[in-house]
Amino acid sequence: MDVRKTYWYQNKLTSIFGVVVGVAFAFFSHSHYQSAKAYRALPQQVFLNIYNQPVGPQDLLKETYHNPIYRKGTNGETPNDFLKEAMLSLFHYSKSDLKDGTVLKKFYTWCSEDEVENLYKNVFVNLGQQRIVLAQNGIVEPRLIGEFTYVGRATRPYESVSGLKMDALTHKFTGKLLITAFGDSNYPTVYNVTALVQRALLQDKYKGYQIIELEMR
Amino acid sequence: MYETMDSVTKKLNKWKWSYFISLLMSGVLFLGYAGYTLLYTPERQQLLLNQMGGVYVNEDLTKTNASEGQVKQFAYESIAFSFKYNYRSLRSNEDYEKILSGEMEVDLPDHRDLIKPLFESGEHEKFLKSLNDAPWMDRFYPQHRQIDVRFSVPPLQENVNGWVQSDDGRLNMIYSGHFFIIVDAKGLKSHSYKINYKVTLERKPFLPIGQEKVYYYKPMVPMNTFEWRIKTLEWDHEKRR
Repeated sequence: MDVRKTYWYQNKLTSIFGVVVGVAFAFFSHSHYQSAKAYRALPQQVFLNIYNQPVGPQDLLKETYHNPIYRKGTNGETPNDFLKEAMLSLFHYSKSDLKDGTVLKKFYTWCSEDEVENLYKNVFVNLGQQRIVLAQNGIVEPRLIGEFTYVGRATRPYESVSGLKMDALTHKFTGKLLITAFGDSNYPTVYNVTALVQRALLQDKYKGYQIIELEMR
Repeated sequence: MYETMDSVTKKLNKWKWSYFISLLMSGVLFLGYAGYTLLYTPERQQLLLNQMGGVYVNEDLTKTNASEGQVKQFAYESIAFSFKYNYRSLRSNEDYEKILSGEMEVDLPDHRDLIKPLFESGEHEKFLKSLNDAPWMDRFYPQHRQIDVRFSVPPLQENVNGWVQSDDGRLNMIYSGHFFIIVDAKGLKSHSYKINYKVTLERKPFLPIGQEKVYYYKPMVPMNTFEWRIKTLEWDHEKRR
């Protein structure tokens, strides 16, 4: 009689196999439990405003209200204040600011990187005002005529500095800006301004907005 | 030696039970773990909130979170910022009064208001007065003068220890040194002055923005969100060329 074909022997073999599988199950469950227990989520970056209030999740399809001086509203008030500050800051400079890169730094603060390339390097430095400033050691000052008019909103593609691609809320404004170059005499020019202001990640632009298109005629 | 059917069945039953229990245990362990993860709630931590609904940070004015280097950088930047102005940014007293009374409208702040957050309020007045008496302010407006600042040496600590405890209990820091200012004037050669200074900085509390009405567009004056401000700024000048 072949003992391997007997009923009791096969049952015994099955039981041994079952024990091995059971122990293996128990062992792997326990090791999985250990590694799961040891898991700690990575600390998330929390942005705070100047009052230590968390800015909250960054939804680029909504406004951001972390700038304490800007108005809060859903009808473009916040980006309107951003644009006003941007325009008053960009067009206020002296000869030394122009030469030591202070103006270029301002462009990088307020505008998207692509727009800086386009606006500063191709247009701004070639404007007649810059010739007055350099030749006559002049000063340029802006003055907003009235307020910016809110045209409307849409979503536009946005790419962060780290390469994230998403859609972001974009606002359109029009307005009038008086820019005066003070040299040997005063040289005022009135510009009709059309600007697109887009929501941006705080990692890229700390104000949470950036100018992606600026047209001055 | 032959085993009886009974003894063999008993042995087999032992194996069957151990098989069953090991399978059951792994299942129980899994269910136990699943239940634990579902029922687990992290420990709640208590946070104190400030008036603005943000996380309260205790401000002990005898201590600072800033390093000595950061305070030195603040001293340098504040002095450079305070002495860099021109005939447009620091308006004449008559024009400034017109602006304050609303006769003249502007978007940009005057230099007086631009540097205000950097100073203790009494010292701000004193500094403006000393600036008004400076020799380069003579014919400042007709000659369209512009003042620029050049530092050649960093501010130097007055004592080795660095931090000083003031009589009012606040932490102070004293620096001294010199820098140069270059005065450009329309149609004239530029000339420079050496300014020797001694600045005392003090730890200040963080104050929320006031709601007062101002003549300029408010965001144009950068807030001093740093823990320090200028307590006193003493300076004298030597003409260079």
